[in-house]
Amino acid sequence: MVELRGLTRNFGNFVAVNNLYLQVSQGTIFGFLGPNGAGKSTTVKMLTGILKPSAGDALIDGLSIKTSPLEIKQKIGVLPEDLALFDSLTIWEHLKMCGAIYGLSNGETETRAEQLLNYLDLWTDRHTFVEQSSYGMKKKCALAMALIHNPKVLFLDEPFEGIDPVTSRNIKDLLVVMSGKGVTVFLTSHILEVVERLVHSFAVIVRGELACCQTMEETLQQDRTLEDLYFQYVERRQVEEFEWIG
Amino acid sequence: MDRVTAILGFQWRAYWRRFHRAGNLTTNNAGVWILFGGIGVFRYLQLLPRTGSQLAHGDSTRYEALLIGIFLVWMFPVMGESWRSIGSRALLHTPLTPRELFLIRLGSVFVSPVTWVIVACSLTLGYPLANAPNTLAGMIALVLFLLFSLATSLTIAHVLSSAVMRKLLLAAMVVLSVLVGALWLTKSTLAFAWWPNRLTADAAVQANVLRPIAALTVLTIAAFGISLWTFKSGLQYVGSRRSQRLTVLGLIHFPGRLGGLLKKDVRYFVRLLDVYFALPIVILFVIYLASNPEPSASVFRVVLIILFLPCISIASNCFGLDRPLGLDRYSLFPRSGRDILLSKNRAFALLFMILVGAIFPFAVWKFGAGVTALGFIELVLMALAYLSWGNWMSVRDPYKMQFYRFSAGGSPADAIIGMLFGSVPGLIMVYSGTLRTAVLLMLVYSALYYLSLTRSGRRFEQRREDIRQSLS
Repeated sequence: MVELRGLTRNFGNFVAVNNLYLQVSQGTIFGFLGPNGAGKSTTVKMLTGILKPSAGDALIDGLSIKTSPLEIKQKIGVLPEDLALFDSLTIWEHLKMCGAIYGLSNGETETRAEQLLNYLDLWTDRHTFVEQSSYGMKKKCALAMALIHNPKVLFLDEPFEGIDPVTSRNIKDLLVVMSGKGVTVFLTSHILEVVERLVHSFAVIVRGELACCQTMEETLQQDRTLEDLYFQYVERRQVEEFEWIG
Repeated sequence: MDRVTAILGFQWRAYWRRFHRAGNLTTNNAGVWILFGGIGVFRYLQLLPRTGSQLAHGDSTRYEALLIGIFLVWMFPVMGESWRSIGSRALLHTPLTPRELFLIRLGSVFVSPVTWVIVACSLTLGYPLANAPNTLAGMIALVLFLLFSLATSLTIAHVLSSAVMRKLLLAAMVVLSVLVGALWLTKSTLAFAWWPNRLTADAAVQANVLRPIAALTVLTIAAFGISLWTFKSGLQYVGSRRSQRLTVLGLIHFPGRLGGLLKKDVRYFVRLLDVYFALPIVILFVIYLASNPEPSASVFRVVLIILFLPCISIASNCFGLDRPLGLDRYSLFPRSGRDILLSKNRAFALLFMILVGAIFPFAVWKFGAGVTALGFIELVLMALAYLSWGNWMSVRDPYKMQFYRFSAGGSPADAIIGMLFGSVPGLIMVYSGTLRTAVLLMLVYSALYYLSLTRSGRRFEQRREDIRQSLS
């Protein structure tokens, strides 16, 4: 469903993502992990059409991100890293706008928007301007926008960050249901405990290069946790004594 | 005071670091701005000797006009905050008092070299004052006037940060325009005697200098008091929490796939102050139409041309109010660059029609349906011309604009060319306003617009990352 073929992105001389090869099959919840600045968001941005790759290609549902960007965008739902919302629209207006753009009828948009906002505990705040909303509310709005047109592939960049525990649990349940219905979920997260319980397979990216890619089943068979594996590839500093603190 | 100095020091450093990082004079059109600014300053300096000789004879007409110009020019450094790196609200968590924050706000205006040029130009008014009957009183009044201008600009900038105050300011602007129109109709000059520019001039030429100086002192103190008050109120302003359903745009449903984007763009465009230059023109022209038994149809046509001029920034920099995140959202939508531009063009057309809408019922009343229809065709032609130019410029040379501020940063040369290009069909209609010409022009400009929309839309898709970079 999602296939990366030597995907590369440079910013000047800096190589943010280097020659990534990866395959995610349909109905999988896939975790894309790595430390800050590793290239996770850049990869997601390339897959979703925000950034153009410097080299390589990727296929989503058999379509190339280089030659069929609009067709791909019709099929995917995206929760971007910085949410990409418009300040001067309300949460409800964002969903109405999205529904219209993806070709849903007005009635269908309103029905789906109501269901999603109720599920995400955002219904009572639907007429709040995004610029007046909390970070969590904005995130839920962006998530609802990613879901409203029933995408085949869902790209979620840090979906659980800044979200309250109840909504976080609701989102996880929803993702499991969606993956059961054949929707592919490609998510990035720093919360390893959540990822460990949610994903079917994962990859770790370090300094733009793929360090590891395997299924959760393989990890469990090795009698290891996701955290053990993660710290095998990502260096960690020992705790320091700051005499001046306290 | 040390804390204020320290923060201003860092603002200074951040400003100049960004200034140096710009690299060369082509960045942000700095070179073109310097060229046009230089021409403006040169022309201004040329006016000073003539103003001096007028003042020597007790005539202050030109001096008063220059003072109005200076007053308006002071608005730009105060309201153009895009180079300020630390906002006042961002400092609220620090142990600084509101008075210290106000001092930082005041000091930050003087970080920019543009302000220094304006200060220098303002003080050169001392040269014509040397010829005035009361040089010293004139100088004191001038300094008071400059302080008044600074405080008023600060007040307006602070007021613009609150939704309620913005609406009050708009209402005040409408009332003031109606008032000026009424005074102009009745040819009453008495009310203008208390305007700050007249008071400043009076101090230089009138025998009784105490009245204007006392009045200016009171006005300046009041202006600074209001400025401090609006600043303090602005610090605590957290935004309106009222329901969106109560606003006019919230009630309107724009049909079609791009309806939501259209609503968003209209909301963005009404937040650019440039557009509001057209409002007093519309009000004054409506007063002219209503009061004049035989208004001129040529004036009607020329006014339509003038009304487009303040809208050049919206037409030729239609992505300027979008944040980089907004550009990302456009990238995520399964819509082409042409669609995105089309939605912005529709928002421009809608906004402009609302702005000039008040003129047309009066035009039908005074000129009849035929002349009004030709005027409407002229309007459509100019909209097509402005957008043809604007779409191309929007993707070629975008620059960042801010809500509730005047646009700044674009090339004045491009703006002038755009205004000329956009006004051509209007000028042709003024000189040869026949139906045949109108049909011919409509064919030409429709084709031009179609070409511009299609090509610019494609170019937008190619340059999306560069445009995002320009707006960040």
